[in-house]
Amino acid sequence: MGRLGVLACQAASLAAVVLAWHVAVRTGLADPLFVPAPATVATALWTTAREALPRLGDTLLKTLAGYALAVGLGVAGGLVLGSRRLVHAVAMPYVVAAYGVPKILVLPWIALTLGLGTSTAVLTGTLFAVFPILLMVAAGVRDVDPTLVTAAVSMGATRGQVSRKVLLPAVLPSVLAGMRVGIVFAMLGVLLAEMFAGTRGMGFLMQRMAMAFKASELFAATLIVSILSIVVVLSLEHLNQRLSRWR
Amino acid sequence: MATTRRSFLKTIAGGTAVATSGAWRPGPARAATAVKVGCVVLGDLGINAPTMIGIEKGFFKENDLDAEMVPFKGGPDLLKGVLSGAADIGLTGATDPLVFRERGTGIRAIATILEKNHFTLTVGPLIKKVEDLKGGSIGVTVVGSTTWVFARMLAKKMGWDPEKDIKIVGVGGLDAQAAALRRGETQACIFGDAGSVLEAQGVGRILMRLDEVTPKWISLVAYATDDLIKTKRDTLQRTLRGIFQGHKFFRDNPDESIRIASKGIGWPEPAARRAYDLVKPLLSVDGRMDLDAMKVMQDTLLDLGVLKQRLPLDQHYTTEFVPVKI
Amino acid sequence: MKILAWRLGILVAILAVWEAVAAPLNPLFYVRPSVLPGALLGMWRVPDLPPLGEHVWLTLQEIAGAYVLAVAAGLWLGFLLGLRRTVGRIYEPLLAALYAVPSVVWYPSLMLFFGLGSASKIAFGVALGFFPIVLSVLAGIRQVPATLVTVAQSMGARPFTVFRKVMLPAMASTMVGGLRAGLALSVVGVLVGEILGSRAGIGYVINYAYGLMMTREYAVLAVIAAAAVLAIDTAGALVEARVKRWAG
Repeated sequence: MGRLGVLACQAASLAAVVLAWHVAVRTGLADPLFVPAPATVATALWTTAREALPRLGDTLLKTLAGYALAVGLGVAGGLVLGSRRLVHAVAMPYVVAAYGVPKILVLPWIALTLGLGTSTAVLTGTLFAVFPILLMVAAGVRDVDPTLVTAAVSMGATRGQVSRKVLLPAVLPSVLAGMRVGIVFAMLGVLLAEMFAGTRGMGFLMQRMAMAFKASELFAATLIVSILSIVVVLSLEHLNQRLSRWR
Repeated sequence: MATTRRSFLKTIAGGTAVATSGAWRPGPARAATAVKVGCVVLGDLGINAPTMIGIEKGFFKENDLDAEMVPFKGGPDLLKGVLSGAADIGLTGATDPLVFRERGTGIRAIATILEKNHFTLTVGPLIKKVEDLKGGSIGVTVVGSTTWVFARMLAKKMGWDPEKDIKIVGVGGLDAQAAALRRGETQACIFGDAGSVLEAQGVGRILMRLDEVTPKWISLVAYATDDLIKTKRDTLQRTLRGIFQGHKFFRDNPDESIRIASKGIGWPEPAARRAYDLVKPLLSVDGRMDLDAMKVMQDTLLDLGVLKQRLPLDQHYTTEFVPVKI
Repeated sequence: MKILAWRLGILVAILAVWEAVAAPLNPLFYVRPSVLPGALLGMWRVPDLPPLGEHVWLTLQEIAGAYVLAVAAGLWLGFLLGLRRTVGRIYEPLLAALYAVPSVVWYPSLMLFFGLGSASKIAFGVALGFFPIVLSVLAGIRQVPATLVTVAQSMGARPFTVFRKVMLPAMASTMVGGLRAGLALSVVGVLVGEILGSRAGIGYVINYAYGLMMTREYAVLAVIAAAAVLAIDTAGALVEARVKRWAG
């Protein structure tokens, strides 16, 4: 089946789902209080978009801020963690443990000390994104062919030169991979913070809609955020492919 | 000595202010001071209406203030907002300064907003009398709020175990309460004057007013941190003046007040009118606090186990801002 | 040995720094680690919070329920997409797109649909947990050397035998990795669901402490919950290591 065929099937499946959904609500199989009809969601998209857009912008800004911090910390930390054998052996269990602990447990404390505003959301975003980046970069550094390093050193390269000219280019794919994963985690952290302790962003809006039973608005908002994040990730993928071709 | 994050920031802010004080600036015009009035919920006439009136009618501007209303979703959230500077003054249920001061946060009540007790117990269609609630759920805003305290009081009065015989659920704002009632998630909810709105929506009916459970009480107060009381006393005084000018307007102009409030909160006017009738006789004229009532509240909270220790009552309030002269 | 000493040293250093930094600060916001054991004892003797035992038990039940459903859904979907090539080509990209959406956006809709009770937490745990399982099944199927399958079939083996004797051992290590990740995510899903809005469970108790500014008690609860999650994950890791050794 060719690519066009696959695309057609995908579109057809989505259409079938929407149709079944419509029928379910029409026949009363699904309670319209909990499951709004597709048509109402479509109309709600327009009204929700207007209310959602500034909030979406707010959420995106916080996500980017948290993401930037996470990339900085994660890449730097990952390089250190991966390149020094002792540091790696000693610190790794702690990093893995910190990664394994659900970060939401810390969120109440962050909200308590930083309040219900932007800093809480940004810090949570950073917290969620930094660990996967750190681990992936560290793994990438460890995977670097040691003969390359030995060769460079034997030619008289200093530590800094080894880092810059050998490690960095070899590690780049892992860094980029980590960065791609990181953006979803950063957005996750920001939305979570907004739902738990926020007054402004998209997460707060969605939580409020859920509690107030604004089903069609909530579906519409969920759709908007989902499409946005898919677009963001796809563009990063595209960017990544472009970069690797150039390299 | 324990230092707080806020006092550290205050020192920085104070230093910067001194360094850049515009004493040399010519001209008498005084720039309007920004003030954020934190309201514990959006969905209570007594809490939201006077501030909305003050903003719309320009009372705050008259007092050289650029006021902004910041709604929260319950007492604990408002507290965090006030502590972190997201709000300068908090308008909330009167148990908050008692409960949270005892916990160690440096806040105190500065004026009464609403006297006595305007909170209501609204029930869903299946409930005919209070006893029917046993085994069900009561919706309150958030754990730790005034509505939560009332739910505990009600449970105690009925002789119920607040964990086993009844479930007290933090549901959130008024929209959420209505949704939970409609869905059967909760069988009753405790809220302020908004019970009338729930009745108007057909979601439930007011079964009782909570002043039946509280002999002496204060409904709503305004509070601020000790820090702000010391450093921004003038701003707080002017803010109170703006709010109380709103109170006076509210009393003297029912129709327009109802219009402003229902537009701002999002209620249909007939429902807002019923809430208005409930609130008007209780709206404080000059902010003076009934200290007897406050002592009764403290006793009740101790009795419930919500307060663990009795602090001297004068730590929970200050009378330097009242009576509010408009 | 030297490494172990270093690790212990780091732990001690972290605790010491935490203690030193928190000591002069407001105890309402900054909890020193040294007060935690005392607070735990206090919580045991004077129950200020809702009864922990039953709430923790409820959370564990929700986790179990979510994981079982996640495994069932994940395995079913994974094999469906993996064994039927065309179906896989059509739906795998859609699945990958879903993976790009921050999972927490599903939660408000789940809360609206299922309410504040356990159902929404279980549903969210399933939504999070089934992903790694599906992905690992897909990856595992791809790992099976096609030649082995052909050889087995040519020797007249029935499909189920081929599955059991050829595919499963080849897929085992990859799949168990996904099952372990699925467990971790189911746990996270249930916890997040409880903290964002619930009537019961350890997340509810954490929210309770947070609302009433019971910072010390909240810290104790958070530490306990973190330790429990790490314990569950360590158990998962042990099982994974065992399976990997068996699969060769």
